[in-house]
Amino acid sequence: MAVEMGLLGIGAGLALGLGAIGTGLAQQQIIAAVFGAIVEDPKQFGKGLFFILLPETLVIFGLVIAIMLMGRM
Amino acid sequence: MLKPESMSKLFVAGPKSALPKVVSRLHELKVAHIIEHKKDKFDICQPLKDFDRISSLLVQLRSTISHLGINAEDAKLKELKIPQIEKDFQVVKEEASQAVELLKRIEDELSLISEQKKALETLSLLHLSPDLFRKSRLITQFFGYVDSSELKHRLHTITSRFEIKTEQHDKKTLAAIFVDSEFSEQFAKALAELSFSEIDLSPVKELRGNSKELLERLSKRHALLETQLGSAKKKIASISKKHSTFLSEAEKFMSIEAEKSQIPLSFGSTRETFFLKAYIPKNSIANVKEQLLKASGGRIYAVEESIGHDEDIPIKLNNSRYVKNSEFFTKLFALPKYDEFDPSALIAYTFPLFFGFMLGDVIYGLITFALFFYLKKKIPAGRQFFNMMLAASIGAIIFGFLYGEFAGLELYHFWIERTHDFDALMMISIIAGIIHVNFGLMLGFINEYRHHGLMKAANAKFSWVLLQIGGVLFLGPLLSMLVVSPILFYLGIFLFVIAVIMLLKAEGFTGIMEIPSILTHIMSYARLMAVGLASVFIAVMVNDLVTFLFHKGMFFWPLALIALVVGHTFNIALGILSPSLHSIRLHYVEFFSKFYQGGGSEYRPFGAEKEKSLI
Repeated sequence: MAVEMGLLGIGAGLALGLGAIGTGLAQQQIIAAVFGAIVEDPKQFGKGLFFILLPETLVIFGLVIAIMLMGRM
Repeated sequence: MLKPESMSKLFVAGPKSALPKVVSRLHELKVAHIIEHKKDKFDICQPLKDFDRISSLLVQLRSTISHLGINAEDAKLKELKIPQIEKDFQVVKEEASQAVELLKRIEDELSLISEQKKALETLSLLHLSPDLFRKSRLITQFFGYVDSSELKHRLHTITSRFEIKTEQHDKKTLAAIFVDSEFSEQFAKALAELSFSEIDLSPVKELRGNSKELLERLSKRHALLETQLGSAKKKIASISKKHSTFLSEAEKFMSIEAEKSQIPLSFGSTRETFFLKAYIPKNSIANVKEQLLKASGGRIYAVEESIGHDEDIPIKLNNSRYVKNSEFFTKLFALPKYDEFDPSALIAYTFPLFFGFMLGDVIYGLITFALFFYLKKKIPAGRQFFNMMLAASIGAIIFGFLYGEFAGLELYHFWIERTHDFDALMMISIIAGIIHVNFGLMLGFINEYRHHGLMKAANAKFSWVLLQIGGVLFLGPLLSMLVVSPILFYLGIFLFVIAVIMLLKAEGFTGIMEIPSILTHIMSYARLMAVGLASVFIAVMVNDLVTFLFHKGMFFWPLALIALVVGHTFNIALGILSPSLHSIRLHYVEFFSKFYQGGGSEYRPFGAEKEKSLI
């Protein structure tokens, strides 16, 4: 039983952590591009902020899975 | 409310003699969106006859205004006469240009003197006078910094027919070299190799005499000019104060006159007549027609034209006072097309709802409310956005009471305890997603039905609804998340297959590829829970840290205070940024993709001032 619980815990951690890494990888490129755009035209700030946010879906899905797994512990 | 305002198209034709009257009446009415006439069989109309005079006066006015540093933006519009403006402006221009020229002369001389002083100061380090650097046929001079110890040695290898004077300055060697012009090229090459950086002595070329004395003289002149500069600036300030009202009012009036006088460039014409086409809101077209006829003394012909199928009709959004605020978000995405739904009314209520659900804290809500109230007063151009954020803050306060949350402290338990009831939060989020997405599909269905008929609408939009029902009924039991009777299970499979076939018909293979997107779009609403949890847990952590520090003893109290302020400020900043962006994203990505394309062009009535906005 203890092993199973541990595996669930590791699974939950991986789901959240890997999701976060994915978001980070995507955001690093988007943020670089957005800052380039803002330097050219400061009015792009709002739109840029919005694009930065798009890949956060990944970490949110990770969190959902983590919570679902924790519900089984 | 959900539709942009209905537009009609007006065609007006008349003799050119009636043109000025028609133009100025159109300008007063401020409702006609003029359609630009492209040159075809009919030529483009000429601007009104005063155009050149008006635009040249306007250019001069603007240049004087900018020279005098007047802020002409908030001028009131006053009815003025052009000849009178010209007469008055002539006097002002004379006065202003004299003062501005004087100022410019003083500034030029000042900048020359400071360059001269700099050069002389460097020269005086070597006790040299500028005379020595006069252009000569026999001797070539070099003056500048060079960072090499082997300078002299190197130069000696070329010739000994030179003089050199050096001095250490700023950790570099300042050198003046005088050489027989015969060797000038070789010297220049050698110096370049030693990375010689020349000092420009051209400002002092004309000066004669000893560097020290020259410096003294220049300093005196500099001081004198400084006082003159002060008085010249004062003079300009007084001129600008005296005439700022006249100038800004004249500028405002003249820019309107300029706008009027050049609008005929968008009209078509024959030798003796002009004609124009304009979009006008349906409910004011009768009035416009009547007014134009009256203004021209009945000498024009005005008739409503039917609007063609693929015309780019300008969009005037038509919303109630509250919903107007969310037009900001609609415009940020794209204006709707003429026959599309205007989603502003939908954003206006769900944006604050989602924001409130995520932030959900009474204290935070009050703080953001105060902040945006202040910003609204401070930045009037962002009024629409800040009003939306005020509504969102109210949402946060309401949800704060429902959660019983006050800056992360759960004071009472009324509905949901966010730090524990993850499942309930997730359930609510997903249900919100299902409702929102399917509402979007319904709007998409209506759109499709209007354009392509029932069959296409059912295939393209209703199939997604069937897909959801079928998917739940047969995937639920397979993933052992749901127990249903076998009949329902097989019905689920049947519905799913039907839906896939419908999609294949409507959108082809890409439709099949898109199938998982319905799931991800609904699951995406889990961010309502996730962003909220992040916010509440940061608040709880800050509070825990503060309590911990507080119990450690008196000495830690200041630290506790800092942790309290910094922690919550940080969390509020995140709490504004994250929920608002995630809320608007749910609209743009998950909701709009079901029914909204956008791409309409803005309604810009002739004569109306452009509203100030953040976008």
